[in-house]
Amino acid sequence: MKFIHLNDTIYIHKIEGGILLKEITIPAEKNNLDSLHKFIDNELKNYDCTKEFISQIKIIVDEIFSNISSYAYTSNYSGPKNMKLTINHDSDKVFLKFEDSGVPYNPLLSESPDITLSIEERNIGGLGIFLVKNLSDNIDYKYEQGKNILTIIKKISS
Amino acid sequence: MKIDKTINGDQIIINVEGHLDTNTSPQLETVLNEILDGNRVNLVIDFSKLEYLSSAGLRTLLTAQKKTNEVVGNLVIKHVNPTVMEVLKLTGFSEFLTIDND
Repeated sequence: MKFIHLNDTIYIHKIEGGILLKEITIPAEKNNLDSLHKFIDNELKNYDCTKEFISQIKIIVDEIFSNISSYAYTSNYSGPKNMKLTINHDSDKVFLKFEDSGVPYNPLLSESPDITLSIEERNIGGLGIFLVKNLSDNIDYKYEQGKNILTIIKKISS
Repeated sequence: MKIDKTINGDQIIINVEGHLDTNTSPQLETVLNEILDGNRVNLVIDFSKLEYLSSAGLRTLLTAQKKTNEVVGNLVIKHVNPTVMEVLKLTGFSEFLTIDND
């Protein structure tokens, strides 16, 4: 296992079941989004995928991290308010796993927005998760041992 | 993200470079609000250097379009890349935004 420290960010590269997993653990604060972008750029640059694919992965990560940093941790939560993102891939799919120790929240249960409404009637609620659902091929949520675990699979388009 | 403002007669052109996410969208919203709260409402947002946008960017565009409609102004979004276009289409935003990709 290899640890790489950069500021308050910890990157870990480890092998599990013969698969190389890349992890980043960061405080769930909005201004850490750039660290996630760098992490993703760094990981995906070696994959055979388009820049549109990388942009879509970044949109997914933006939306999930934004939700976690806004809602996961209440002010009286005493532990580290972190989010862990693990990324790995096989020949045609990228796997993203988001973990936090905040309040149990299943984003898949959020109501989809009515996208046929006129501009006057439109509001922004639910659009983030709606985008994630539409840009992903598979999403799975579970709450286990005090953790929200959201796993997303996206097929690589090249 | 980088935002450039160009004034061309009665038209204001906003160039957005980078990406519109949770952190950067408020910057664009501030720039757009300053314009839309004034008299100038002939506005072009040029996305030729925009990589992608998330729902925070959509929120900014929705607010800008609503304000433009209130003052019977004109807002055109130009040079939208395929990733941004897909997001606008998926969310139905392409129905009420004026997009000029020529």
